[in-house]
Amino acid sequence: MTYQLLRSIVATAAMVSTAAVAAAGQTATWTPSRLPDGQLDIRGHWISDAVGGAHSVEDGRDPDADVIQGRVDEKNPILIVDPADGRIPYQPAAAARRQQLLRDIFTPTRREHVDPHIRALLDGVPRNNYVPGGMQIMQVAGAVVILYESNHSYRVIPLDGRPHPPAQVKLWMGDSRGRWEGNTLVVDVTNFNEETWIDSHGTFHSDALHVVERWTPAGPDRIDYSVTLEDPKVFTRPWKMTWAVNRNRDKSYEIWEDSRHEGERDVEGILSAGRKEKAAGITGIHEHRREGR
Amino acid sequence: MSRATASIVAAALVMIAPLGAAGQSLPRASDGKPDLSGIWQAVNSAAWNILPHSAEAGVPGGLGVVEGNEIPYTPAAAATQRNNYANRAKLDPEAQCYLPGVPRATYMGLPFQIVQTPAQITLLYEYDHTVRNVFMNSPHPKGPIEFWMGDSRGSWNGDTLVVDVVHFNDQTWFDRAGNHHSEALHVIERYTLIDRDHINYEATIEDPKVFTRQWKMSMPLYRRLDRDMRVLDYECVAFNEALQ
Repeated sequence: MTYQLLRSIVATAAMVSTAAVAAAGQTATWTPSRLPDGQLDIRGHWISDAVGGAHSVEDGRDPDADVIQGRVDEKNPILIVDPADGRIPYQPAAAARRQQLLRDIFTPTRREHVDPHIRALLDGVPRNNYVPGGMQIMQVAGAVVILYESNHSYRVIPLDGRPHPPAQVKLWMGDSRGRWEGNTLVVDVTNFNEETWIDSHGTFHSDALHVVERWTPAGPDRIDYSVTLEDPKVFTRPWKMTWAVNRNRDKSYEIWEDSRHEGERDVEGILSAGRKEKAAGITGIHEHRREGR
Repeated sequence: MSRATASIVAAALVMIAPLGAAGQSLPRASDGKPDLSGIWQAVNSAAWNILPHSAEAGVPGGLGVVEGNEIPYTPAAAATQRNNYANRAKLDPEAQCYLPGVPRATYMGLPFQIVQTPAQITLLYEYDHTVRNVFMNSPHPKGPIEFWMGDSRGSWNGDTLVVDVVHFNDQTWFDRAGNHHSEALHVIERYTLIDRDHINYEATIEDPKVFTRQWKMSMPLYRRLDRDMRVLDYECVAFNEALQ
């Protein structure tokens, strides 16, 4: 049996067993409970089943890193459901810039060649939902608040229909405004800056990025999440990702401080190595594709 | 002011006073506790110096927020403060965009939002997207732990939210004037809603390695009533990076 076949069987078995558990967990009698202001109750600690996306939303985790870390058998879910080929629909100029970024990532010589996540900058939306570390959802009258473990970032999502700030205001996490449509929390996010990446593969966007998230509770312990990204300066059309967000059932869990910037020294080492390689004439591209692509 | 105008003003004041006391009851949460939810800000110059100080270029003067106008440093700690002050441009952790610590986060000159639930009260600060989770009626975890923002555990004493904060590191300051502490810092904060739009904030400070006795600072916090107010971001990590 080839290694790739084994990997595929293990992955399929893992998905089937997850599906079975999920089906069993979602009893037909489940009715969502509501808070006094009418919101569905989604309070608690949650973890996205989408960790590979933090490395590449198109290609998942880095297989070389998986070998080193002994993680080859772990799930590596495909997140992009539209377009059907799972590739981000870049405009030609944007595709060229992205290719250059993948070369810069291979031999980084300037800070802007290094993933903003490593530089301890905020992850933006939706990336904060799938970087390692979970999230806590708090709900108060008229608002949903998301606290992310990673880099102690947060979002306050008002539900009262107030408008986004003026377009001149650019924010690392964007500006989130929400509404409940039936059993789905729909969050409209605008006012982004153009500094964040959507993954460590240089998946960039402009300040015209518009994100729409849909959080649909599918049982007491699972939220079906989908997100549509549109950016007329970078993409040819909107594209969409989906994954499950699972409850952290440790009832005593508390988010503790994740001080990221304080004492950060990785960037220095990454740039030093990149500059040495560049000086030695080494160039290349950071690339790995899913099987069959 | 004429005598007639003065008596009209006096009459008006008499009319206003009872309204302030009786006409405006405190907003309360569903559990009956005072509702501290909202966006708040200190309006003073404690960010520069928590002690009384004269104005300098770019630094507004201030009457100080420390009771008794004095910090009871040990002699060695007083010397450290003088050195910190002399080298503040380089040594102030704010210049590195490090998490500001407690109580400094309260009076950085930027707003913060309080999200209140019975079991957890969370403070979301604009400066460096700093977060504090105040876990209610639960014990501090066993140390030693050194957090930049400490470990906050809260309880209600009547209508006052009391937050006990321990497990600090020794890296944060109280202000830009080099006032400092060790990892033995223990802060007790008291948040008392005095009317809908004002909180009386007090912080009692003790640190046997640095101070000869306990001391206290206090200041009002004002509700930000600006139209469509929200906490924005102040990502000084990125500002510092741009200078490199």
